Amino acid sequence: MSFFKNLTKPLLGRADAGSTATAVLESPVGEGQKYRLDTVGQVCPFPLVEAKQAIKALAPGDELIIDFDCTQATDSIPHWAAAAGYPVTNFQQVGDASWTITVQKA
Amino acid sequence: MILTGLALGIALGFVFQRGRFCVTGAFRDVWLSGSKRWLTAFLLAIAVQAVLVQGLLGQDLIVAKVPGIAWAAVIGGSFMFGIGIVLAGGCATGTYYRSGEGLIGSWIALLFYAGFASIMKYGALSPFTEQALGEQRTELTTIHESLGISPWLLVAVLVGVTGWLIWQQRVSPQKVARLETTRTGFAHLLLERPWSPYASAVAVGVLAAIAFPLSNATGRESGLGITTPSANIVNFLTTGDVTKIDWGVLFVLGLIPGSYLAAKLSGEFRLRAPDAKTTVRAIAGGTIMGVGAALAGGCTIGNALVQTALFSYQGWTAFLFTFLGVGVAARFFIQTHRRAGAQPVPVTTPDALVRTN
Repeated sequence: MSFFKNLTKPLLGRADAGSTATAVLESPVGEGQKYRLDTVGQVCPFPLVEAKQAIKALAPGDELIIDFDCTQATDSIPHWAAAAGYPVTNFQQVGDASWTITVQKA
Repeated sequence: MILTGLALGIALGFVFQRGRFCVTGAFRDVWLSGSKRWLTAFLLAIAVQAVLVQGLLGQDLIVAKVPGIAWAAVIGGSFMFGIGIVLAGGCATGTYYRSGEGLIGSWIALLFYAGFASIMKYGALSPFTEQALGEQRTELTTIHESLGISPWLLVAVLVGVTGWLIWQQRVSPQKVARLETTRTGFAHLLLERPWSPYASAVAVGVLAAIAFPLSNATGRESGLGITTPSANIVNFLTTGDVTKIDWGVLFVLGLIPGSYLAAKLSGEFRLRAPDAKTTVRAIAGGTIMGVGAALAGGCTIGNALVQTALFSYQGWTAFLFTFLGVGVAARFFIQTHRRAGAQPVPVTTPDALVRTN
């Protein structure tokens, strides 16, 4: 079990590690309002579908914090943001199979 | 040596989970957002497998059974299967590997899928399946045999199309955000770093090709398959007929621990219960998948990944109609999605920014 523990160890305590995502991009506009979209419990592709719907109502510069727990969205949401030209200002794993990503409307 | 099936299942379960390889998603994305990123990867998996399998077939090193196509059953069954996988949120393989990630909704879909595949193949509905699939089989097996051409011509076309799609995908508009990394070396590469769809596809294609000699060695004349083995598990459990336990059964049973291992080691395993709506969809989707795949003679793996690499009429017809079924279901069940709680809530206090889980 020690091999197993060694591999999982670095993940523990990540929840309070703060905002240290590696790919924090420069924001093109000033500080906007922050919004949270809780999609926890929704299976893929619904977190992405709901994020696309939610961001429509936001003003440029506003940020949308999306909490999700379907694995596939760790691939689909950042790719959607990149394709749409929306900067990702935060992207972290907050626990076992739980993630949060912040997408800024541009 | 049916244990090689278990080993291959574990390996493929691991690859599917880490690679986020989802055929349902690959088809669905084309309809929902026009993205061909994952469809291209899926075609790459078929192309890699086709090169290896045609090479092995040319040297008479493997045998691969290709059924004559029963048009109505394959078209209707695949179309149904396409609708079912959208409802269930994953194809047959996707449902197996998501079960290993702890998604209880996938366990439910899996039970209904395997149950109805068994009912269709061995149970109350087997006369209907026999009439629709068995008795309507034509002599048409592979495209190259019916055209009298070399299979390598078709391999070249497939490789060409796949290469062209990869070329189209080469431009990335912006740097894609990634999670912070905490591991180094092998553990980082295997358990943390996002796998490129192409790397995952090559792994899937190679493992699918290896399945042929391994399963041939146990007397099975086919490669990867999900539906018949799933039906066989139910049949064995309900009748006690041990002859149903073969290489294919151990292969599908290996997918779950393989994906569990990948998810657990990368911190992506958690038991997650579906809400009422997701549960109903899992039951409906699993049922439609079981009926559809039994009629079509395979799922997105048996038909759309393996029979396509053999260039069979059944494989490519199933590929096309599953894709169309996914399109119709995406239109009715995904694009219409509305949820009361799916409203963005303004965040005011800085404390609220840190989600405690």
